[in-house]
Amino acid sequence: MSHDQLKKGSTELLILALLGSRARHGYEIGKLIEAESGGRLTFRIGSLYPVLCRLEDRGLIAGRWVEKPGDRRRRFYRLTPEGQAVLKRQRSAWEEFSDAVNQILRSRHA
Amino acid sequence: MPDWRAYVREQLPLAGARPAHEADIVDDLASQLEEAYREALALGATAADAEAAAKAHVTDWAALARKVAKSARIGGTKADRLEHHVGEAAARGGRLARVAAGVLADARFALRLARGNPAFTAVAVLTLALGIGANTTIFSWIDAILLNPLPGADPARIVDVGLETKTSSYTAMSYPDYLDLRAAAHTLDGLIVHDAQAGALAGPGGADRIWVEMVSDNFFDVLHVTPAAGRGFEAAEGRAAIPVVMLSERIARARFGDAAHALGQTVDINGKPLTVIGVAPSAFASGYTALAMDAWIPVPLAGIVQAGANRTAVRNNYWLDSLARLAPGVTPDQASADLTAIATRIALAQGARPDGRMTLVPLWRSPRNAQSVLGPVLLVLMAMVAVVLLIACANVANLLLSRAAVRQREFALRLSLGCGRGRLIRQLLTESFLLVAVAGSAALITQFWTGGLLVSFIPPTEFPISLTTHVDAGAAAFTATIALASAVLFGLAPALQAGRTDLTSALKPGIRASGWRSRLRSTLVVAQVAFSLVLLISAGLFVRSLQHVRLIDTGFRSDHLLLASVDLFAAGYDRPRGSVALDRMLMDIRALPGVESASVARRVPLGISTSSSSSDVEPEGYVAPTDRPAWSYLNWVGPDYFRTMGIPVVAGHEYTVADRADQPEEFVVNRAFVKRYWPGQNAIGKRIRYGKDWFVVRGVVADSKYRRLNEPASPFVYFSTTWNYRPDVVFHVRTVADPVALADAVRHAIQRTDPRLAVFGVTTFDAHIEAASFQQRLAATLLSAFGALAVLLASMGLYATIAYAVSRRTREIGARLALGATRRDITRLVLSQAFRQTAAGLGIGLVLAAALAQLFASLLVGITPADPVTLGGVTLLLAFVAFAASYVPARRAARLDPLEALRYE
Repeated sequence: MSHDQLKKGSTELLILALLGSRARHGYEIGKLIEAESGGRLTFRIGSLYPVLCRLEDRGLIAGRWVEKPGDRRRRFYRLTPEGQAVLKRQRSAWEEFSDAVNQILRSRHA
Repeated sequence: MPDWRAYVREQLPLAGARPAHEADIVDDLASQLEEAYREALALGATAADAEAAAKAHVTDWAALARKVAKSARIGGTKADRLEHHVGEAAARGGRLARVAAGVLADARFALRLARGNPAFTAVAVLTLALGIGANTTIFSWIDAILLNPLPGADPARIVDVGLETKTSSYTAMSYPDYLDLRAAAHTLDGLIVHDAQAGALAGPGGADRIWVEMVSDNFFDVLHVTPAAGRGFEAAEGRAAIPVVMLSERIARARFGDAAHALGQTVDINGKPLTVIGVAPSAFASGYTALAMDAWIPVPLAGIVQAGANRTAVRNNYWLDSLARLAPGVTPDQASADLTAIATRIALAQGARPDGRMTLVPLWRSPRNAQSVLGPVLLVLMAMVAVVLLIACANVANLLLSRAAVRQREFALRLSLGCGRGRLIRQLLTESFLLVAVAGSAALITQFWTGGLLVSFIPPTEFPISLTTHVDAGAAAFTATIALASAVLFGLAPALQAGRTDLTSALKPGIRASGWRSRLRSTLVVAQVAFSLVLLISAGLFVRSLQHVRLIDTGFRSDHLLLASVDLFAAGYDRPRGSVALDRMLMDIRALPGVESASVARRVPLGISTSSSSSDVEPEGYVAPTDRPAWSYLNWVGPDYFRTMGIPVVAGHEYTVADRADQPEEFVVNRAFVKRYWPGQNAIGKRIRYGKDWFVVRGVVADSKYRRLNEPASPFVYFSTTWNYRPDVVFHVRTVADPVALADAVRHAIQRTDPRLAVFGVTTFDAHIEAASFQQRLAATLLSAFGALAVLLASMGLYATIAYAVSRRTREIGARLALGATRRDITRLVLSQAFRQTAAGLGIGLVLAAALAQLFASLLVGITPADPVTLGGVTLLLAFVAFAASYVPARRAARLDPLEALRYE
């Protein structure tokens, strides 16, 4: 499995996790993933944006326009209550899954 | 900087997107690209490099457009998306999810149906909105007056505390008794006392008249009211006269800009400097339902606003109203028993005879305050709006039934295609719920306006009225509940009926099934007529009461009489200066052109807030039964009072300007006093003991009304202000012409003695006693409106039913006509059906109305609930309306062309 495929499968979880604490602008999400992964994960706007649309469609995140005088209006995304519930579920599922995978990989490695 | 929006718009091929959504996507992407561009610039890139870096974020615009196009932001409505989600959930399994998906589909179908038949939808929604709205409005009034009169946590546990003795019901409390009760009560989470009094708040432009509530130190704590700024009172302030005050937010803002700035400042009330220690929140008006106070002081400071001797230390001076908060799990009865036991112990310890019992009642049953005035009327109104709602439901049920008849084949088709009957019933119920959802929302929204209507019925009072109704969670829950109940009420019968659709006959053309349906419709019409009659009779009884109220002989002449009040105590006058000032003011008023006579009195009869005074008295030679001492109402009046009021003097003479304070004091009593205590005797020269001394009766006057228009004549003792100085009096001025024209002149005449004196409550006596008929007017006005509404709905229902019956019998009527029936026969045939239904409805309605009217018999003036004029008149009126409503379809039936009718399907 390539790095890309792993990334694709986890994008949603990453976005939900980053919106857990506060509302963020779309571009900020990509930059945060890059920063917090130490540059190992990078997302372009072109690939992140459809995921944001999809998450919003499913009601897990909600966008809100923020307008400042003299500035372009910017859309901020935040987690909805359903999104929080899904994040909680997915986070524990992910931890369980990655623990299991790691355990197997380690034992085989050894 | 590049125009990123133009760039995205150019690159992104979004065909078929709605403009608003397209703009959203374009703006969102553009703002992100711009962010990337700015970041690159900030990191030191050249403009060209930054632009390239940003553009590199999206390389495959077509792919992005494809992915985004799947999103709901492009296509579909919210409902589509919702249905999509529910559909997904349903597909994942779960019975609940499948039901939800089904209901959603039903709702969409119902929505289409509603749009397809806007006239039907509008009539049904309007009818329901009127019915639900009337209920929501009256409920909001009941909530504000009875259920939740004092904003604070857990108001259900606040109770009204009174003392009932053998001779008096529900009296107030003395301060020493209060302190003892409070210290010993274990069934309470707090006991408070309060009393209200007007005062003068000194200001830069002269004094303002304000209302001051004297309260126990624990007042705000027990009511769970947190000050908006500063603190409430402390225990020490409840024991000693420490000069502190709390202000209302309104006063704090007016005087100091805001609550915080008021703290620590000094205000001057009745000439006494007080330190502001706190500001009450704006939501809290006072401890009295519907009254707004301006300031609060601890009870030991009562002497600031109260004339006369200090009462706080006197154990047998009962003047404080009391409220308590029950401890959790304690009932009012248990607490009553507890307090009664304590009160008995206190009395015994004082060497007094234990007398009476403490009575704790929920606020809505309080025999004093706004509850006692408005409570009975509000409960009648609540019962009546429930009837309005029933009529509305019957009407909509009727509409639904006639539509069900039209949709018979649709139902049959669905059933034959495998739709279960349960599914069909659910579909129809969903349609009903949709109707009430719209109607309920409309009702809730209109409540923002109708909630405040109650205030417009309240006549002018000397107290500052504060009645705020809220559209809150409670109101919403109430609306939702009655909306759902009505949906079941009007939707269930048509739905069940549709479930009974007979497949074979319904699908065949020309055959109309179901006598069940027409029976149901007849029943509904009968119910509507009956309920309408109940409403109309109730309305009629109150309208007639109101007429009687206007005819009742009050015992005085209320026309051409002007009132104006002053409070010399608040203005800082002592007794000698005060009496001189009052005499001069009266002299100046009497000298005005157009003034026939003028006097003063402590109390004005028949106001909504008229507080009455009564006392035990001892008429010479009268032996009172031990458990019922002689008593009398009291008033303090000036010279010429009876002439000014138009109360005839029947024996002796009244107080005059020639009376002097150094002569022995004499009394004037009324005829009822003589009749009760000295029947058949000459009262002049007889003596009455009041307090310690005996006084000679100098005059007897005719009876007049004091507290209520329908009260029996009661004994009355009038004291003269010549011997009993009262600083708080109302000037009564009899004028030759329109009293309103003299208002300014009277005000100026009073202020000639003291230009700084506040003159308030300037009004005509006629306007003042409007208040006395307040209950009747409120009920008569609203019930008439509801009654008219009910008649309109019922006649619509009757018309629709008869018209429907005629259309169902078109072929039969054609056959009758062809076989030689005359048009009169046909008219009679149709009308007889209407007549049977109307007669049944009227009969049932009369019985119901007779039962219901007993509940409000005590509110009626001058008539009984079985008033023949009302009952007969209203029944005839409704019969006529019913006849008119059915005559139109009857005539149409009679004019049918027999050949056309026979071909009719």
